[in-house]
Amino acid sequence: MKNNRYAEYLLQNYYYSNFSMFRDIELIISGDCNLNCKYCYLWKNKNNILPSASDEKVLANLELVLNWIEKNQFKTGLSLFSGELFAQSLGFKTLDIIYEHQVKLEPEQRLYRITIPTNFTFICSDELTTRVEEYLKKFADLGVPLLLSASVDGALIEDNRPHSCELDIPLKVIRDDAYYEKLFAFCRKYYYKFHPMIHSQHIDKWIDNYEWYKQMLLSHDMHLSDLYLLEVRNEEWTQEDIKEFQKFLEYLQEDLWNIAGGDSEKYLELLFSHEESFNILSSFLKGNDRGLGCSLQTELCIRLTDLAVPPCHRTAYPQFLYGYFVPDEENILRFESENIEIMSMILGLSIENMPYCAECPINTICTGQCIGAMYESHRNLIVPIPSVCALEHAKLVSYVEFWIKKDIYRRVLARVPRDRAKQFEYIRRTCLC
Amino acid sequence: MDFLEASLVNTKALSIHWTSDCNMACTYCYIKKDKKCMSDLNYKICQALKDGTFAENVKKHFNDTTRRQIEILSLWGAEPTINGQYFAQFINDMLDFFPNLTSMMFSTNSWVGGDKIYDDFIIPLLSYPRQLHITIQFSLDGPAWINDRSRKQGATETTIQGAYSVLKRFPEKSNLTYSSHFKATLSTEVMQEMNDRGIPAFEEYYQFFQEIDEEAHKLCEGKENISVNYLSLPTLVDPGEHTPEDGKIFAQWLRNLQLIDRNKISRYQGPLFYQALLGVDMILSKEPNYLFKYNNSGSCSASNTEITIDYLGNIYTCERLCRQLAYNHMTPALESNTNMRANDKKWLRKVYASQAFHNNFWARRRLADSTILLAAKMGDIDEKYFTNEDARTVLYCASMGMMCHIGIEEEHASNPFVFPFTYIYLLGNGAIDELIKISGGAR
Repeated sequence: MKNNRYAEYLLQNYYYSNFSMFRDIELIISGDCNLNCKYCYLWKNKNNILPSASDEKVLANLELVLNWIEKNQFKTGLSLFSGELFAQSLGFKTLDIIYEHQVKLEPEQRLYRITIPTNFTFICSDELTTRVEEYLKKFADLGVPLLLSASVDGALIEDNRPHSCELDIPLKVIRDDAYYEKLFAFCRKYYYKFHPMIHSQHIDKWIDNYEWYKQMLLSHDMHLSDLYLLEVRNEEWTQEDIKEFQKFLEYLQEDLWNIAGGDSEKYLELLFSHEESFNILSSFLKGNDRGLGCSLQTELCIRLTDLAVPPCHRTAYPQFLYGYFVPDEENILRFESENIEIMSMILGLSIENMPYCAECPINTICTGQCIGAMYESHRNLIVPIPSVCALEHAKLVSYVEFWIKKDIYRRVLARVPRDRAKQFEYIRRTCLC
Repeated sequence: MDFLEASLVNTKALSIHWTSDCNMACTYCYIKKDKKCMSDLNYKICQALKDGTFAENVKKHFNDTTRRQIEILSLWGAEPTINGQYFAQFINDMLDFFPNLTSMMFSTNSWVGGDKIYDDFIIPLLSYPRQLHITIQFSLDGPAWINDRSRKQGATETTIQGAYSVLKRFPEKSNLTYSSHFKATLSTEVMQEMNDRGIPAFEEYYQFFQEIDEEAHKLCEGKENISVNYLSLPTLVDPGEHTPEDGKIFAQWLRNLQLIDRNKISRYQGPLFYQALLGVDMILSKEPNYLFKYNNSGSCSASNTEITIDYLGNIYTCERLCRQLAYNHMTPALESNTNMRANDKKWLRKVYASQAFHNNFWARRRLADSTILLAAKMGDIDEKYFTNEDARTVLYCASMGMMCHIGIEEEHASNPFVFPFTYIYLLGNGAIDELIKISGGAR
């Protein structure tokens, strides 16, 4: 159902009034990428979720969005989502337009920051690296930092991220030792972090891959918490894969235990500090202050090819679009709603109202699933994937098992809210007694 | 036992997508009237009925255990009687294969005439050596000023005579029992007209059905194998594109309904509007597990105890979703949330997703809050729905008694868990309060 009055209310209450340093606008720019990651949804669903448009159209729409942000005096940041921005001229043109727009504004009117996930293949070219650094400097001088996030799985499992093609910037992708040296030096220089994806394929190599990561980070004077570990929550996980995943988690926990010098109190401090621990070992302990753990309910997503507003980049199917931004006669964007019912439902989603999750005995300690992956699996956005439920359950079992083994289980429970403690107890009683 | 077998063990009823074409074009019908698409598909269905592949495509899903679970078979699509000449061959095949199949059902506008319905659908069952039952639902919206306007000039009289004709010809003794009723649909436009005309229009409406019922009972005197009830109760256009204004019209209509002189329609014993009362009863009931008892939906058995199969052997969550796909033949199957296609490798996952609808009443109920609260916040339904959680539960449950959920919600918002505003507008503007009065008064 279309209802612009409702849409404006939801946009205002969920997005506009909450824009901040941590709640920004995600712009979908392009689906083109020079890698072909095995777990990437874009390769399978690009035609359905990302209609093509000329670079000129994308850039013209970008200008409209920037003007709209300025006119509404939104104080926010931007996330530039794409395949690989730094392997295509559109990426640099995008940054040019944002820069030209920002430079005209007063410092207090500028964006907080611009976040760009990148596979860092640009490091393969010294020329391109220099070009990227020029942009980093330009934006830093403006007070609008460009934050690059490294989508790099690790040297031992680059098979999961094979090179596919060159885009319109010539770039020979060779990820040898010299490449990784440069990559880590670059990330150290700019304080960038790594976010590898733990995929079911090659899961048995993750212990070695972690050791490689650790050695690289420490040898470049970086911290282990610069490694943001996240499991791919797609449907492919088998029981064997999950067992391998548990082995890796056990190894990771032992390593953190050793880092704490075998001191249980120090270990707990690390675990609950969240900043100094591994996110994968601790994020579920603090929970989140909103319905879903991902950015679905906090980041306004705008697809620049056609100014559509989807729930998120992964769910930008035609039937789920909230609506479109449409320029009026003065070229000011106005929102035209499409599916107000799905918008209302998705913005109100939480474990309390998701099928199966609502009744699940470990729902407050589970990190949840990706609604895009759920849709890809069985064509329903909010029904969880059983294999991923098994994965998340196994993850929690391995934590509880480790805490019991180290005799810190009760002390962990004492530090978490009662409802969560009960759910850890459920894991202990049903799986470990 | 694999997942497919497990899901079919619960299946007691088969909905057959029997036809895709219709000889009418009712004003409120939700089926897209793409005539070429409808007739092209119906040609294929007829071919499959004629050469027996339709029956084979149904049977192939069942093993020796699951085929014994099937008790009910119903014919759906558009107007089933237009393919009536193929019923004898098909039903004999089905009865031979499903040893516990005893009950058949279809709904018709009877435009083809009562004699043809009797010849095509009753006679084949009369000769089958098993105790059987058939139910025919005749679509009749009310007196001619309502029914002919929404259906076709002369449709009212044709339907009534069609129903009478079957009653007259039905034998006094047989191994087949027969039941029949009318299905009346009221649009808010008609409700508005009745409101404008006042209580006499309401009395005329019910008296119309009462007179038919009286005549029908005379026709089946001495025939104990027949059960008819032509005291029709109106149902609503589902889902419609109802507005808050429609909701106010409906509430006023329910208020007027309570002013009828019941002495003038003394054959009617229960409430004059039953649809939605099932949902309201859920709330009014003191039985603690009442909601769980009806946790599938209240009126929906889709993919729980009932499945729909088309001529190709594709299995669907429900008949409505089958039609949605059949008449939107350009829509790729994979783009639909809940349709299950036997030729789709992922269909078992969709069975799982569909069953989530039935197994998660409270999740669905809480999800409905997002749309109910928004409509209340924006002033499009009564304010109490913003502040009173119980009131929201009543509204939600009432809709379960009157509306198709899984199919409609898929159609409306591309997800069967999304509660559409059309229901909220229709029920949330005073209608619920009137329904509770009607329900309480009747019990």
